Amino acid sequence: MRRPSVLVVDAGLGNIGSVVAALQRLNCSVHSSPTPPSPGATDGFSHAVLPGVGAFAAGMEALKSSAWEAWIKEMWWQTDRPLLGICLGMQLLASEGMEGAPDGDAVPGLDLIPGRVERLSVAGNMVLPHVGWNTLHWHSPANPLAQGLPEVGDMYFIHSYAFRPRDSAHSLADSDYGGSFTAVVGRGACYGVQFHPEKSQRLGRRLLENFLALPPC
Amino acid sequence: MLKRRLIPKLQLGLSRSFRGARPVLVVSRQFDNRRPIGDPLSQAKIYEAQMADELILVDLERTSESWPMLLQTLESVAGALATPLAVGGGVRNFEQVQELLDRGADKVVLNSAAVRQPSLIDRIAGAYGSQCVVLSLDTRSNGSGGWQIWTDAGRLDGKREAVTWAQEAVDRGAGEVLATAIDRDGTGIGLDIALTRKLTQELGVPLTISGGCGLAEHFIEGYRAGAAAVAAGTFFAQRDQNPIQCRSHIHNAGISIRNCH
Repeated sequence: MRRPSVLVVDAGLGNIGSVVAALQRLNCSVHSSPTPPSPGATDGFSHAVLPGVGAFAAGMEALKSSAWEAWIKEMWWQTDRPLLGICLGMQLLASEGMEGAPDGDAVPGLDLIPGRVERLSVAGNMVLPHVGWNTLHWHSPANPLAQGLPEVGDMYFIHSYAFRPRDSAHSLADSDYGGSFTAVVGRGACYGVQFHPEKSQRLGRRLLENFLALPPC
Repeated sequence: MLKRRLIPKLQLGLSRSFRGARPVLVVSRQFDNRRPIGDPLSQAKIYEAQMADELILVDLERTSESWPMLLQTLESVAGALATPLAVGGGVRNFEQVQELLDRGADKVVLNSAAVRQPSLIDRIAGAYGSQCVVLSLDTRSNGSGGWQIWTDAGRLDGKREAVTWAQEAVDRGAGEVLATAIDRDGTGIGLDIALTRKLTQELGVPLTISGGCGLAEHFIEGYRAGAAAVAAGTFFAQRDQNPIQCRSHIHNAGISIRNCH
């Protein structure tokens, strides 16, 4: 197979350096850009990664103003090539989100995977953000993204909101913090992970390798 | 299940020679008596191989001369590792926060600057999210059962009570608190357990406690008192015990911690 050529979306959603560095350590070429590539240049990429940290509303605002929203929805998504959202990037794949929403009205997301991003509901003495290493449980260990990963393995999380998919078939793995929440979503070639594979040492590296092994079309 | 974290601290100092200054890893005792012990990048790689859950990188010099070296060290560490990095020491303004994040810091550790200008916390949390802001408290006992904060690497009286200040910082948007007992730093006599209990009780964010670890048992005491994470510099740097050995002691004590897979 051809060496993957990865486009990292640099829409100003926080530091993308670690994601770029983690991909560079794998066998692929990595390109990051603050603006979307032209249709011609888009054809040169086999995989796209949407990293991000921060609030949902601010994230969507940044994707809109940088024209990435249109590129992701109208150009990349249509070609069915692999897309990986990380942390906020995963949440933005949802239909809507509540973080940073004015007057409690949901903010529309990219709507590639139906669902809503809501604050984690934790009880009693549990604190937010949910930060640290937590166990990932795959619903379908046969998923290409889960290849070679242990059935229970720890990934590094740092977030206060979580993706609630409308269709449970889109939830590929979950984790538990004061209740179960979706940690990996997938629909077609579009994937999202709530944790940070680029900060999750060996297992995170394996997940990124699995993503890069997805066929480009 | 969420695991407790074990965090080696990398403290940076400058080593000066005829070729100029270069960053070195140092250990300290009660925030003083800095001793160079090695190269920051090689040590960071060793810690990752030993399954450190996260690393704290702090510049103890905190000068305009050391700042570019902190950035350079951070860049090399972030480029080589897939481990979460909390970075600080000498951060005075918002622009410096951006510089750290651009070079691969996941979280910024704020101490003196937050005391002088508390609104800096609001600004960073507003721009990058609370998960990005770690409030660092360097504490000494106030002699009557409470704790006072000290700024500027433990040299100046911060004139604030530790718990009240931490609460204010959390209200302003700090997502985590790192508390270090100055007088225990580098002594190996054990963590400040009363402080750990108090902060865990009063704060709604994860607490990292530091200062005084000399035995694996000290980590266990810290977790039992409620800390989400325990950080140590000297303990790991002296190689009496590496993070893997320490981790199995903690695991054997029935505390949920990441295992070697």
